[in-house]
Amino acid sequence: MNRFTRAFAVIGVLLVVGQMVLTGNISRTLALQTTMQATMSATMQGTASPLAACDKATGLTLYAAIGYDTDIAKAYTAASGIPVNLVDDSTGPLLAKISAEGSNPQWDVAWFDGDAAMQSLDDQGLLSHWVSANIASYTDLGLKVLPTNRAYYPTGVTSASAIAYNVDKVKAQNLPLPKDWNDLLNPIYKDLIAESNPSISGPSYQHIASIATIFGGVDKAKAFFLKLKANGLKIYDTAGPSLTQITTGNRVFAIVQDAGVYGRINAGQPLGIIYPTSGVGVLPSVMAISSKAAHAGCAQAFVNYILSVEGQNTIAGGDPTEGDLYYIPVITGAQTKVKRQLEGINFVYLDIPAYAKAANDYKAWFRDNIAQ
Amino acid sequence: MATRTVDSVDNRPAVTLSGILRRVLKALVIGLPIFALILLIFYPLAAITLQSIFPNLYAAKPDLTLQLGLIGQVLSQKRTYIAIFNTLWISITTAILTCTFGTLLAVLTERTNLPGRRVFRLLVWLVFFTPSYMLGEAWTLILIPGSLPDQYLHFSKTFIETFLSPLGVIIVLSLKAFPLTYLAVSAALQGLGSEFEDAAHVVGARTARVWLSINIPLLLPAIFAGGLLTFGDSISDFGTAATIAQNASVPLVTYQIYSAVYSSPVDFSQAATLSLVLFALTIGALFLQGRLLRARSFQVISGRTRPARRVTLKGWTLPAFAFCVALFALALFIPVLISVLTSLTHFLERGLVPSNLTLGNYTSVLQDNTNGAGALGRSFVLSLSAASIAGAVGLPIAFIIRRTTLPGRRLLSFLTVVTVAVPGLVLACGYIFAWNAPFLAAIGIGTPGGLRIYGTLWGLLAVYIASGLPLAARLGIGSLDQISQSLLDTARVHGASLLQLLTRIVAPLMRASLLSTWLLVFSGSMFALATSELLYPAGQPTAAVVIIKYFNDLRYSEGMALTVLTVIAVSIMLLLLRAVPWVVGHSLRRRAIRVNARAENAPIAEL
Repeated sequence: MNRFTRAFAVIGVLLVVGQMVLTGNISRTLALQTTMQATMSATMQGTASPLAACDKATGLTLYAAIGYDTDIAKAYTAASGIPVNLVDDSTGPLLAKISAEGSNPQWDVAWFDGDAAMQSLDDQGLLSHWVSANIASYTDLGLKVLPTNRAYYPTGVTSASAIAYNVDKVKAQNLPLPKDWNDLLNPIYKDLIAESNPSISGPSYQHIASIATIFGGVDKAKAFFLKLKANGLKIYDTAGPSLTQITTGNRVFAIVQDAGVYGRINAGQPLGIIYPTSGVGVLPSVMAISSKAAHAGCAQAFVNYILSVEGQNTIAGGDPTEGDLYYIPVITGAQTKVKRQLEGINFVYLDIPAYAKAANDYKAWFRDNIAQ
Repeated sequence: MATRTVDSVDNRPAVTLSGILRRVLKALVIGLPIFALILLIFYPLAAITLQSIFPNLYAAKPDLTLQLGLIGQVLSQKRTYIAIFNTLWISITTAILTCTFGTLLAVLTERTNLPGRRVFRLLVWLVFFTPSYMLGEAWTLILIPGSLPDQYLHFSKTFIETFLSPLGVIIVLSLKAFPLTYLAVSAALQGLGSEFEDAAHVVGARTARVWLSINIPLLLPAIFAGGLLTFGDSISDFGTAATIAQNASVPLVTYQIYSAVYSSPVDFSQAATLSLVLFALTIGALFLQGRLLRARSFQVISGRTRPARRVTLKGWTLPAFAFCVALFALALFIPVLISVLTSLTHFLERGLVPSNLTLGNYTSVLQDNTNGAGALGRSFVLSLSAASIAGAVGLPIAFIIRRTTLPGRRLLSFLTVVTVAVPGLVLACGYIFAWNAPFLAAIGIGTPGGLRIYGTLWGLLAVYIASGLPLAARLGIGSLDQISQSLLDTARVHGASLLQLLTRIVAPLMRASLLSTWLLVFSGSMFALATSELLYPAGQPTAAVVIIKYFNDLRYSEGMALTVLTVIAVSIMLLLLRAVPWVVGHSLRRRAIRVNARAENAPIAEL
């Protein structure tokens, strides 16, 4: 046993020392790079960054969690001749991958739903700050969710907190439809409401953050969720299980991202959507370029394509069974082919940097007090 | 435990060229597996562990701020202990259940005249191929209100609530894991002759008595090895944690790791700390196993082993048959049926009406060259390679641990056990840290034009091997323990080298076990989810990645279609592997056993 303990200790010490020596050097180089980048980005605010050169032989690497990413990447390659190497996971694994790669990113462009999560990547210095020429074509809605430091770009907008309901069940049980958040506390909705877990589902965090914005603070939101729980709120992992609870009739109302619900309505499922009057959370799909992108030129060209009318219309012509397609465009002149509510939604806009920082505590509270 | 060892025999001076060659070869046989183990498992795990102490080690702006506080923070939270408690009692109950089911099934199929035993033997493998997330997903799809079966059977609320509880988690885990015990025990049974039974019968013992007091105790190493694997499998199982356990509101350690890694902001420290908790639980189980087995020897394969006789079941035939059918109905038929039905519908909720039935899910999946058929092909080739390499490396490791006096073999043994319980998710994060580390550029790894591991199919292959290697080594140890040391000593006395010993004696005797191991790693890799999601190369997804993407997009029907196709691909492999050697090798094995039995100069087995 002695020999074994010694061998273990020696290997451990060697590893620690080795990493100390090597990472010490690297951190100095990195600090220098970051300073240079900060200086450059400060001079770039406002005017469009000059496009870097794109090597068509290498193309770009895209990490994406958007339903139509495969189709649009193919379409882009066909149109431009620039290959797109796609890693297509759901948002969770994608964020884990990006975080673990840290200072040695293998991706050029990241694309997923949720600006709070993207902001936390920017807080770690992982995103490139650059100005796209296509900012000029943003709609008012688009400009409202565009960060001032230009670390990432919204490509479309959905709502994180629509109330989906089972039309047949509501009719059968003769239930009145809730109009606003506080209506859900009515005992007639006891044990009928489902919601996703913000510790697992990205959109769900944006929802609880917008409830805090609407109610005037995290503490007031917490009080609301406790009352909702007392009225039988049940938490499921993600929108999938929550919606399945609705379609199978086990629950009647689910607070979920609206895009997937429109997808299911299009597929013929008996679902309806309510946007509470005092406001619903906005959930943009966001796209960013790595601060150390190996193929920055191709990456910028790709982002500009997605933000162009041509790119938007190619997306709009995609497979209508894909739920993510049901977003509100943020580019002037972009067409919408799918059927969804575009006007009359009272969006509330979040203080994203603040809620990105508050995420850990707020999610932990929700998990410990509401989800369990 | 054996006291004599291979090295104690090998004391000839190496002065000749062939002597040096032999030493080099020996060093390779022993050195390469250890090197593989360190590179594939130890280094990545060390990387993520270091990350939890130095949280900024791999950050965009790395520094060496030592933060033991993060570990303390996790270990001071009440919910960590609730999760540990849940994980522990659920896994122990599961291990006990699987040991009972697995051993019973192994004895029934290997040693009785049970009708349909060949079919059951094959079905065990199919159960094994079924990934736990499919089993969990299928059972959730079965039991949620309004599901396909519910549309016809109308389950009561109590029934559903009983299942969506820790009880359901234990049932699904046991149904998933009993093949582990079955395989360990059935491999051991093939080496256990009837001579002890005969001796007991001579002094008047009845069959039941013989089995309970002689054969079962002799099988204990295999049962415990299987139980330990089940325990390791259960505490680190994500498929159940992410499906049925969450619906059942039972917080488990795996689920907390999952939530730490997969939600923003990503918390690797918490994941690493909780993995250390899983390691500690596994070490505890290992320690217990060691204490239970230390007292005596369990070697049964010696020069005198003869093929065993089968017990006639008589009046017990029907209950035994019913037990097997019920077991496979729950573990295989019902979940597979629901998966197949789901894959044939447009929408699950609309039920089995003609207008809702389609084959379109299959055609659309098969026509997709990148994500459908292509992904399946990639998974197949990778799993084939991973299984072969893990098997080839695992056996020498088992041999080193059990049958040599080499320094460091205890450390090796320790590593293989601890890593059985490494969650794929944590291993995968470790791989990113370890093989994407910026300092590797200094030795040409990860540079443009240099050797690339992370983000390539090689990295994926490496992590599949790493996931299978501990299992291969532990199963190898289990069946190696049954081969009498005197048999090996005899071979050494007759001048066999270490290499000859491994390839000519140990490997053939362990053929069944090696085949099992191969299939085990193969199926594990085919459905490996967490590792694939995090490590697949851009543009080259594997089958599991695509399946889970369909599920996440709520496209259950297409997801189940690809799942069913994957299961079919694996089943074909199973049939090939079981049928071809059976046809070709049947006569060969008969002859080998006869030759073996004639080696009467071998010493008597140590009992």
